[in-house]
Amino acid sequence: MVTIRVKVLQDSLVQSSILSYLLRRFGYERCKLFEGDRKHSLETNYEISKQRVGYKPRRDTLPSDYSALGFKCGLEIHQQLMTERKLFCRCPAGLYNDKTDYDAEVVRHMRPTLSELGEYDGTALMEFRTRKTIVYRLKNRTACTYEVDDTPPFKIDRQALEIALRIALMLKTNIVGELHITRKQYLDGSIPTGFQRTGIIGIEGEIPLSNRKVRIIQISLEEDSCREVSDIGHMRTYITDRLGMPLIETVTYPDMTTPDEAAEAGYYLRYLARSSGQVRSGIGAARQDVNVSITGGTRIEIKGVAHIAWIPELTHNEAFRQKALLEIAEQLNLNLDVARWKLIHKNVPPRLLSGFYSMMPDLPASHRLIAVNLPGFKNILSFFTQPRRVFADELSDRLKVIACLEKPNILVSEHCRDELVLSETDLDSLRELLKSRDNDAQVLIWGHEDDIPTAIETIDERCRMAFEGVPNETRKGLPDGTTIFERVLPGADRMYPDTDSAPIPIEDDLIEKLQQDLPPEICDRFEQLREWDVPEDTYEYLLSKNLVPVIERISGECGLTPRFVGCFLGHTLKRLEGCKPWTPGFSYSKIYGLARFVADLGLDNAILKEMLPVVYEHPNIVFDSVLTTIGYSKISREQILSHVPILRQKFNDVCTSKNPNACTDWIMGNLRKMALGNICLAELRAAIDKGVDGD
Amino acid sequence: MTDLFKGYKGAALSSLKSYNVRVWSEALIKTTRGDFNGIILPRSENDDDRHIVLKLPTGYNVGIDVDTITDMTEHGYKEAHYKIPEKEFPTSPDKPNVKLFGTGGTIASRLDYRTGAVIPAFSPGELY
Repeated sequence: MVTIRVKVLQDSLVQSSILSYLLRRFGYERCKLFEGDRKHSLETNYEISKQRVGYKPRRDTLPSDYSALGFKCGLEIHQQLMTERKLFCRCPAGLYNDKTDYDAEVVRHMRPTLSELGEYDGTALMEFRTRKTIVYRLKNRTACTYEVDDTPPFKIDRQALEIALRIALMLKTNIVGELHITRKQYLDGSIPTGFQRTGIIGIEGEIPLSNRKVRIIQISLEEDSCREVSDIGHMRTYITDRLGMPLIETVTYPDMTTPDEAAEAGYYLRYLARSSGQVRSGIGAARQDVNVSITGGTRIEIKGVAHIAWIPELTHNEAFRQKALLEIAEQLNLNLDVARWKLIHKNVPPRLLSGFYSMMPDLPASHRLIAVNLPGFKNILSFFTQPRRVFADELSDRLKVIACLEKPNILVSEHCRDELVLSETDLDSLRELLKSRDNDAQVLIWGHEDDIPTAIETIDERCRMAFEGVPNETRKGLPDGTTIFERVLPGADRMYPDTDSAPIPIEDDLIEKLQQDLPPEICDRFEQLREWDVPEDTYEYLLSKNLVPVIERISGECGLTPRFVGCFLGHTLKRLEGCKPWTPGFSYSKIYGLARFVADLGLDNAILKEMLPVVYEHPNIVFDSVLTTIGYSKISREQILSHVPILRQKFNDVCTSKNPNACTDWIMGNLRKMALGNICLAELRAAIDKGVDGD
Repeated sequence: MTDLFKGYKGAALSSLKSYNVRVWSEALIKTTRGDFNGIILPRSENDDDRHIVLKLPTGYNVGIDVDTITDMTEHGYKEAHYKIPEKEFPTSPDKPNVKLFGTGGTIASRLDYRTGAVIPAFSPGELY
C-alpha cells in the first residue's frame, strides 16, 4: 500500500491538478488527503471526481463526446387538446381556478392494486410507503362526481377522439382498430381515483429531423391530472380544475443521440400538434417527459419539463450524472462486497452534538436524531454527480420523497456544500458513537420517529443501489439544468383494463374522412418558409403558433408578400406580445381585417407596423380611427417628393458627416411620417438617391 | 379446444383459427393499417366479433379489426394467471366463524376476461 500525503495548497487549481495526476497515477483509494483542512481537501474531492467523470459544460461537448458516452434520448410529449369538455365527463375543459378558490375538499389515501397480469408496480409500492394524505380541492363548475370515482365514466368525448386521431395520422402511425381504455395506476395522488384512463390511438410512426428520422412508439389519448398546490411532510394538496381534460401523449423511440437533437424533436412534435389548430397553448398546455440513458446506465425519465429549451442542458447533465454513478459503482466494488455491506445506525442524544443543536434548537420531542455509518463510503458522499450536486444529494432527495423528511434533512461527514456538512466536533462524536473506521462515511438524519424506519431503509436501499450503478427512477428537471429524484420508474405492471368502458371501434370511414383534411407536414412548412424568404429567427414563433396558414391567408388575400407578413407576425407582433399579453378581443382575424383595410385603401403596407400596436391595445377600435391616432393624412407621391430639394439644401447647410448615405438618411428621417402609407419607403429612398426631385 | 380462443366468436374466432393463432400467444399481426406486435388476450363475450385484442409490449391493450388483417403469425406463448397473493389466514378454534359480504370494488376483485368485468376475490387468503 502506497500512501500519498498531499499538503493542501492555497492555490486550489494547482492542488486540483496535482491530485488529479495522483489519482490517475496511483488510484483513488491510495490518495490520502492531508487532513489539516478538511473543508478544503474535500471540496477538492468534488473537483477530482468531476474530472474523473470527464464532465464538460455543454458548450464544450461535441457530438463525438455524446457518442462515446452512448447517449440516447427519447421523448414523451403531452399536449392538451382544444375541446369544450373533459374526456370522460361533461364538465367544461380549459377553465382554471385560483389555487385557493374551491368549494369542497376531499381527502384520500392511496393503495396499490395488482396489474392485469398479476404484478405490483414498483412506483405504486414506493408511493404506498410514503403514507401520504392527499387533499383535493374541488370547484363545482370544473369537477363532478366522475372525477372522484363516484360516477362511472361517460362516453368518450368524440371531439377529443377525432383530434387525437388526426394527430396520429399526421405522425404516420398505425391506427388501432379498436380503442381500449386502460386504467394506468398513479399513486402519487395526482389523480383522485388512483388511476388515469388512457388508450392507444396509434403505434409505430415517424417524424423527419434535419439529420435523421425519429421513430414514434405510440400516441395515446388520456386524461390530464390534477395541479399540485403543495407537498409538505405527509400532506399533498391538489386542485382538480385540470383533471380529466383530454390530452395526447406522443412517445418516441430513444433515437436522439445528442441533446440538441432531442430539443429539435421536441420542437417538431410541438409544431406538428399546433399545426392541427386543435390543441391548447399557454402555460402547462404542453409538457415534456425526457428519457435519457448512456452505455452501462439505465433509462431515466425527467418528468414535466416545462420548456423544450431546457431539454439540452437537462439531458446533458443527466448523461454525466449516470457516468458519475457508474464511476461510483466501480469505486465501491473495488474494495467492498455489497452482499456483506451493512450500514449501522444509532440514536443520538441531541446534547452529544453541540454544532447540530445550535443549528436546530427547536427539534420537537417526537423527533429523533439518527447517526448512520456507511462502511467504505469515504469520498463517495462528496462525489460529483451534477453541477453543484453530489452523491449525498441522492440520499437527501430520496429522504424527502420517500420518508417525507423535509429538507434540510441530512448532514454528512464530507464537505460538499456548507448546508450539508457536519461540524468537526460533531463528526468526532459521531465517529466515536458509531465506532467508524477511516474509510467509512457518516450521515446524520432527523425526523418524526414514525418516519425514521423508512428513512433508514431508504438510505440503505440507495447505498446498495450505488453498487449497481444507476437506479431506475423518474427525476424532476430544475431550471438550472440539474435534476432531483421524483419517483421509482414505473413499468408496464401498472396497467389494468377499464372494466367500466366498452372498446370503441375506429372505423375506416372515420379515418378516411380525417385523412382528407390533414395540414401539410412540418418539414414542408419549414421548406415553405424558406421559399418565401422569411427570416429564420421567426420560424420558432410562427410554427409554434401555427401561423403559416395565417400568412397564407393574409398574403393571398391582401396583396402582401409572405415575407412581409412573416416578419410582421414574427417580429412586430412577437415584440408586442413580449411587452404585454393579448388584450381580450384581439385575434388573428383582427390582423387580417387590418391588412384588408390597408389593402382596400391602397395604402403602403409599412403603415401596418404603426397601426398594429393601436389595434393590439384597443381591439375593437374602428380602423379609420387608428389612422387618426397615428397621425396619418393622405398626401400624394409628388407632394412628398417636392419636399426633397429643400431638405437636401438644409442638410448641406448643417452637414458635418462624411457618411455618403447621411444625406439620404436625414431626408428619409424627416419625410418618414409623411410618407408612411402613402409611398413605399424603399421607393422613396431610391427616388432620393437617384435625385428624381430634380437635383 | 374453445379455451384456445377464449371469448372469441364469429369473424374474430374464424380469423384466429385460419391463421392458427391462440389466445396468450405472442403474435405479429399485419393489417392494412400497419403491423401490430403483442400478446393475444381473451375477449369479453359481451363485445363484438369483429376485433382481436392485443396487449402491446408497453402494457396497453388495443383491438385489431379482423377485416384489416392480411397476415398473422405466432412466435411465442405467455399465459398470464391473474391472482391475488394469498396469505395464510389465521384461525382460532375458540372463536366463532365470521361471514363476509363482498360489495364490490377493484381492490378486492380480480379480472374476468369472460365478461370483461371484475369478479370478487373468493378465498379468505385472498382477502386477508
